Amino acid sequence: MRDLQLKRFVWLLVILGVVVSQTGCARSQRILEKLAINHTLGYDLDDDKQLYVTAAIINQGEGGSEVKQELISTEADSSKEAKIKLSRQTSRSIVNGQIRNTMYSIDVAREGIRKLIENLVRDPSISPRVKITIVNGSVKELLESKFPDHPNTSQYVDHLLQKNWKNQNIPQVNVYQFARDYLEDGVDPVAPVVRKKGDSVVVDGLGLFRDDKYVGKLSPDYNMLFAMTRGKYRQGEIYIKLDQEKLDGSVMLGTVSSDKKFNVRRKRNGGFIVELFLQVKGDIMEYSGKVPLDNPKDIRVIENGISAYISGKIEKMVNIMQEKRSDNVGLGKQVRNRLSYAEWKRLNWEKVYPEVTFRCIVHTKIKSSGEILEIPPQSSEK
Amino acid sequence: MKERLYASHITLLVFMIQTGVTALSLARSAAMYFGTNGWISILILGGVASVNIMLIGIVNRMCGGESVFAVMAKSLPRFVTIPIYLVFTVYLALIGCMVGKQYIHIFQLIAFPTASTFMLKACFDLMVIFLVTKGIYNIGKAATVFSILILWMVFLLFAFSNDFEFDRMSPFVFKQGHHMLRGAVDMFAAFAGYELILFVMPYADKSKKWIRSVQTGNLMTTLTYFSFVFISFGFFSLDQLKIMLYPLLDMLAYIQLPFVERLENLLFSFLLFTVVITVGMYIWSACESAQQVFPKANRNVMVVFIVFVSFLISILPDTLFQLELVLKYLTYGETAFSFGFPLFLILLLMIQKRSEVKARA
Repeated sequence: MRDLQLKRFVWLLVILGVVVSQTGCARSQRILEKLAINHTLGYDLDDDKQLYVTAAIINQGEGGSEVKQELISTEADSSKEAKIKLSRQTSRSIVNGQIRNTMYSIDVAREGIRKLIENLVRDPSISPRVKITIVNGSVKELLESKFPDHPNTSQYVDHLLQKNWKNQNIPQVNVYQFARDYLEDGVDPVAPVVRKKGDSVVVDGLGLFRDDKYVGKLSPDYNMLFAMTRGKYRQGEIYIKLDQEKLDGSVMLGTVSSDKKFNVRRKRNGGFIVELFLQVKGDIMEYSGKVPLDNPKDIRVIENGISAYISGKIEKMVNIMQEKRSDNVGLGKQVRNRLSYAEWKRLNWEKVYPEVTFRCIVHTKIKSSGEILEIPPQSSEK
Repeated sequence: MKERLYASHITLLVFMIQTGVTALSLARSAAMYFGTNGWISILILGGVASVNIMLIGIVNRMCGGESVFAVMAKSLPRFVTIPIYLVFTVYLALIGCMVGKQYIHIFQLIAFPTASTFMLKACFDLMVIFLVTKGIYNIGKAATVFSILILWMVFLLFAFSNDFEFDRMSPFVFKQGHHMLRGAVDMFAAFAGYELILFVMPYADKSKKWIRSVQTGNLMTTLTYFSFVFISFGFFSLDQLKIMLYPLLDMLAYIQLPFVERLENLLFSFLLFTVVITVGMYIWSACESAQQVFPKANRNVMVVFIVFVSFLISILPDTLFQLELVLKYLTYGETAFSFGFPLFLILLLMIQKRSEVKARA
């Protein structure tokens, strides 16, 4: 009898629980047509050095078919203040769960973006995969521009970055990776730079940071070489101009893969020599030089030419970084991992870094020269 | 044939009691207190827990699988044992309700920011009541089934191979940390829970394998913790790890599948199963203890009463900060209990043996 009563009581509790929790849901329900889905956040500095926030919002139309982009912008001290101010400008409630990209003008990036990133990490509704992009020019202007082939500018830029990252033309940089490199000893973050060019948006290079401040950029030629120094490089393409004495013309290597290894040695005077060994493999996709491709000996000549090109370019790239005192390749991390803790703490890496001698030793292997060897010139041309 | 909890049940039960919400912040604690390569500390703590389990094994061997309450009743007068049992009841129920509340708070933080914690906690406690009223054998079986829902998540760790880097770990061991000892006690909370197995002793299969299966359960927990803390140290940079409140959640949030993103909301819900078992076992142990004081009380009414009172208490700390502070102090006591209580029992059993020998002589 007692058991029966208890059972009834428990069932009553269950029903009560379900009913009350259902009403709880009603309060927080979100209807797609009433939401302003924030897709891209842009940060500019206005003339008074005040932060100017632009949000590209995607509005799902009634009926579900049409999707419209709406741009709203406001002056604000912080991104969250901006959210409150922005919400005054739209009839829908702004949600942050679907943010894909955040864009910073070079002026904002020069001032440092630590606080802006921190707030992105703090909000649990924002994914750690939100991209970080630097815009050469005004972010607002870029987002406002109409590109005839791409009705939705914010999505266009997002897809552009995504594709270029997949092809390894630019490193993937999201909130998690930026924060990780910023907080790590002996490496500085990077971020891709884009810019408006006529009727399209182009990747304009790689933005270099010292701590959280933008200090300059590398031209887009360096994108792939930078990727090789940072991690395992797979399935990329690289175009190489051979301008050595014996060689001329150019080579395009496809399905490039690379492996890296660092070596650190000490100089007599206390400085460091950092050597980067790169193992590059690829197939020849295009070749415009005179070396015949059917002879393994001659292939080696091309391989050496490619190696010399890559190592020269990478050494130049690191020199540029050293001039800007930003350690984006992460030489500091390599040096740190070869010192004792006391030695590393005693070392003032920021001071030592510009003096580090950097060498890049590349070993190239050509896997094949494509489907044919070479089309011989016609006899009449001889 | 009387029902028994067999070795595999015990292993998975121990694993499920131990794993809980503390796991989410474990990598941060390791980074904060132990610094570089803090993942090594997980192995040390796992070893400490294993030594503790050996003590429990000695208790088990000396009393021949008898209930701990029976051991105490043999040597101590009832006016001494009753307050001890009451303290046990209150303390275990308190830990149980706070652990449950912590899960609910984090759940609310990431998934239901507008829902009331009160409601969520009430629903959660209802599940605990259903589980505990079914008795220890069914809790054991539930733990076995639930563990399958948790264990597969270990394979998710492979999702991080792209951003994992050995270079990030640095060759330094335990540098840039502070308050290592205090941190170790804090982190030990993630391993605590196995001491409840003392109360399960009389219900278990009486074979020598018993303590081995508890050790296996602890080993499973240690290896699970170790694997994701190790991955965290190669995935996050050290200073980043120190500021991430729940690194494991952030790692789960980073997983991206072609058809779905932001998996952490879904995956965090799976943790519900281990938390229900953890809380269920604390409440069950509290009831076991209370039963000694009120031997004639109806068990089910007692469960509902204890859960209800602890639910009321759990309303008190209403921010995550307060809650984690309360939990921290509660687990200090629990750690002391898990070492002190077996030692105390061993002492009692030794005295009993000696007096038995004397009586025979």
